[in-house]
Amino acid sequence: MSSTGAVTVEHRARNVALIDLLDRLLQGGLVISGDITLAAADVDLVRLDLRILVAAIDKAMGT
Amino acid sequence: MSLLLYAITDAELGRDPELRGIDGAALQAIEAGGLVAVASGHSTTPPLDEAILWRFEQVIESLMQHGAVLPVRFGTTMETTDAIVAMLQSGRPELVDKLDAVRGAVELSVRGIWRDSPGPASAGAALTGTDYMRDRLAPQLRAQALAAQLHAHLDGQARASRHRILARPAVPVSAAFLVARGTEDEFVRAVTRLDAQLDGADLVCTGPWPAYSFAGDALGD
Repeated sequence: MSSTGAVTVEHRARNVALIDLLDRLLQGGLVISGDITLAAADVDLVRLDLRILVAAIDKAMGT
Repeated sequence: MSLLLYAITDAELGRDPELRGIDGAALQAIEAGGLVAVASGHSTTPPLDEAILWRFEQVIESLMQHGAVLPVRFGTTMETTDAIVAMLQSGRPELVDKLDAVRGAVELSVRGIWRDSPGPASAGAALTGTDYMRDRLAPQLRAQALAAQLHAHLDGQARASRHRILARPAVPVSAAFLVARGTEDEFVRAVTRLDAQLDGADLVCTGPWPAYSFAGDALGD
């Protein structure tokens, strides 16, 4: 049970929803094969994922 | 110049000159056989940052106002409009089925987060092979049990659901539920009730999202 006594429903509070956005954009969505190239190499997307997560945590911690 | 894909829809798209794609690029609607792929042209790869991800999301949310939408995996590009038309034509039966599956629905995310982070059960004790394996398995089993609770309590409120275990170390369960539009509040109330029953975990619900987790697996698979 959450400390506030109610589930935390975040309607796009950015810091919270960012993790869900990242998961969806980078791991969800329709995968189209064929004559497709990624806009960025997978390794870049992984680095982006980590960098943004760290930034979000910093913001959440008020640093 | 390559074309960055945002989504595929079968909706009649209104003209929204204010809506721009990533980097302010104009959006193009590429149509074939009643399906529309929405894309923007880029001569160079846009710099990847948080604002671009939210812009991508904003475009798809805007399209959802017109009807069913299949978000495309972020970062997917095609070289020409002809290639996109060919993809729409060859994938049409599958795309129509996928659009029907998400029509009138939105995705809600439910993440489980442990309130505590207990150390290994065997901490401080001499570690045997059995202890080691038990410690390694314990987080998996605990997360799987939480996932089972989510499905048992929430699947009745959803058309479809799926989850991932320990996608990140601090997030034991990340679940997605495809919920009929208009029933989001009812779903959230069900999440709230479940949250109140959980001793060791908090639930965080976000959304509504486009149906990223239900857009289907790879086209053609």
